[in-house]
Amino acid sequence: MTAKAGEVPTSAEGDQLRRRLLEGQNRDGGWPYQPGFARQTSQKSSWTEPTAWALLALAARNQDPRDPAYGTGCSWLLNKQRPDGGWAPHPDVDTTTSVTSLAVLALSQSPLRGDALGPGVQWILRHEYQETPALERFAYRLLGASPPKAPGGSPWFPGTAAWIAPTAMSVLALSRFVNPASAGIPERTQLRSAIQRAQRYLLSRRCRDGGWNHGGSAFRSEDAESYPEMTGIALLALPDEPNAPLQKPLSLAAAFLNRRQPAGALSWLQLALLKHGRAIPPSGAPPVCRNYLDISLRLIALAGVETGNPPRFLVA
Amino acid sequence: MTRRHFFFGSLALAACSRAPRARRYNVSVVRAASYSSDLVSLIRRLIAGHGVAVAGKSIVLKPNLVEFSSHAPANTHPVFVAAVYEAFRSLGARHIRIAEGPGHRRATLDMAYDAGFFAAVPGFENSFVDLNLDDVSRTPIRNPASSLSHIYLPNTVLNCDLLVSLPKMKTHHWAGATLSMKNLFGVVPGAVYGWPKNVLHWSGIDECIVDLNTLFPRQFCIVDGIQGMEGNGPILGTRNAPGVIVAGSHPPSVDATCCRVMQIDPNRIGYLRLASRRTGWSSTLVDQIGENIRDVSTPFALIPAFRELRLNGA
Repeated sequence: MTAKAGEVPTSAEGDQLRRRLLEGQNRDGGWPYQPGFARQTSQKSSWTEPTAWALLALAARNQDPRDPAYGTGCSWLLNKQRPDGGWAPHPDVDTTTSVTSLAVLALSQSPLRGDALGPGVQWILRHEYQETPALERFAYRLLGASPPKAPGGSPWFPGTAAWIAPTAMSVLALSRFVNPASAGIPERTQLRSAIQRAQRYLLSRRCRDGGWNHGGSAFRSEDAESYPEMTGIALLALPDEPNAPLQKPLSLAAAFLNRRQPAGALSWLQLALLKHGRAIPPSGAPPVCRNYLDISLRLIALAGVETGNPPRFLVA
Repeated sequence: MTRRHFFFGSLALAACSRAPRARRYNVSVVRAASYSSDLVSLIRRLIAGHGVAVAGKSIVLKPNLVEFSSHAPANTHPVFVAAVYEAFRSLGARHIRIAEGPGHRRATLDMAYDAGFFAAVPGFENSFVDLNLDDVSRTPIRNPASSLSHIYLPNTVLNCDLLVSLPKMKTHHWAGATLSMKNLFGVVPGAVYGWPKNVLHWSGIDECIVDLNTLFPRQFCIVDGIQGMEGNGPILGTRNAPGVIVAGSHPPSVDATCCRVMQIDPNRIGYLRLASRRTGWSSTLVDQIGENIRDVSTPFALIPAFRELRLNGA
């Protein structure tokens, strides 16, 4: 599918965003979330999530892997891998979290990844929730709620409830290794069943309007509306099958794009519609990219819109 | 034991057993019928009245910004925040940041734009810090009430001289009421803990509220009770307009006063009870300044699960 002329942002937008992204790279190779204030002397420090997305944005735009900006970014990420195989959100944080999926996803596109991916994938698998005990399920049913550590779901932070975004990101990361199998990566049947469990979790957490919000329990929030960005993220992680119950969320995603959306939500929705072969409504003026995450997501979405397909690394 | 030993020993015992005089806290309640009132003058008087040192200080204003939706007053009103900003600026603050880290949505600045902050606060974007994405420092929690031994907090709030909590007066479907103490959930960084900041729920909501407040002993709270939210707050509730501003330097006392305005029993709010148990503070140790509570109290609707919170006799 190719978007019609005038319906997509120009490549000038992409060029400008790419320049901004490269200017924002820290000297250590990583990216901060946001630039520091002009009057502040210290630059903001590098974080795992914006670094991973910046590398994915560069990969989506066919960045030469020998380019120093890309190479030092990959090195930063590789150097921050923890002994348990995963990544912490920031080098000063002492806990490995769901950002591991993003680091694995980003490094899966890099020839510089070495043998980092196997332990990363293992960490993701270890933190996908398994079956909830029957008694616990019964207790939650009495309360009119779903178990927070539902099978297939992944938490943002270890030991807490499962949520839509980290679960969807784990699906996207694990999907990179299903075919063909790579060295150090678990059996593809194990990966496939983990992905399917996670996708079932995503389908079970839809809002009444057919989309997704952050994934909160229905208890006392049964009328909560879905969020555009989460609807886009969840749709990207779900299979494009004729019988999949995605007609309603896809229609909702298209409807969301009839309103002005923040850069992140716009990007996720466009990528989701592209992935499922839907037309993208005109987006109007380019959105304001308020931080490096916005810039990266916008670059990835623009690459998808320009080619008519989302980048392969975002297809489950 | 000699008679002299017995005499002085008894005297010492009596001195030790005498209860220390409990500290009392001032809380102001003032009327403000609408956001078009002269809020700057009113808030300046509140700050001065409480003897808050402002000149030369670094101030962080922490409003409550939770959703895009404008059909119900979920967010601290941008005009209210603008008035507080101007009041602190005019009193000589060295620099002022407005900072927030919403719990569910990541597009913080876009939410602020939709909520009207860009229009209401001159140069908003240059003074705003998204606390979800700020650089952080590991902060130990001494004698925690929650199961957390430490927490990562944004440097912007850790390094300021005064944290000014600007909550919306709202009911809350888990905590009963969300006011100045609960407002500190917004300083916990999503970049570390996620959206929502679910670690706080798993470690005990009431306990984390109390722990976070012990980490910020220098606070001034100004509650936007001009329009509040009742029912299924903090997002899905409906408008209620008591037309008041509540202010003070002691968050539990400010919150207890707000509860009385809302006709909620502060002694049945879990985090206030916990604060009381841990510090010896009591909701009876509040000295009211300004309006009489009876004259401004407005019943806030409660969801069925929280009907027992209603203030007796209300």
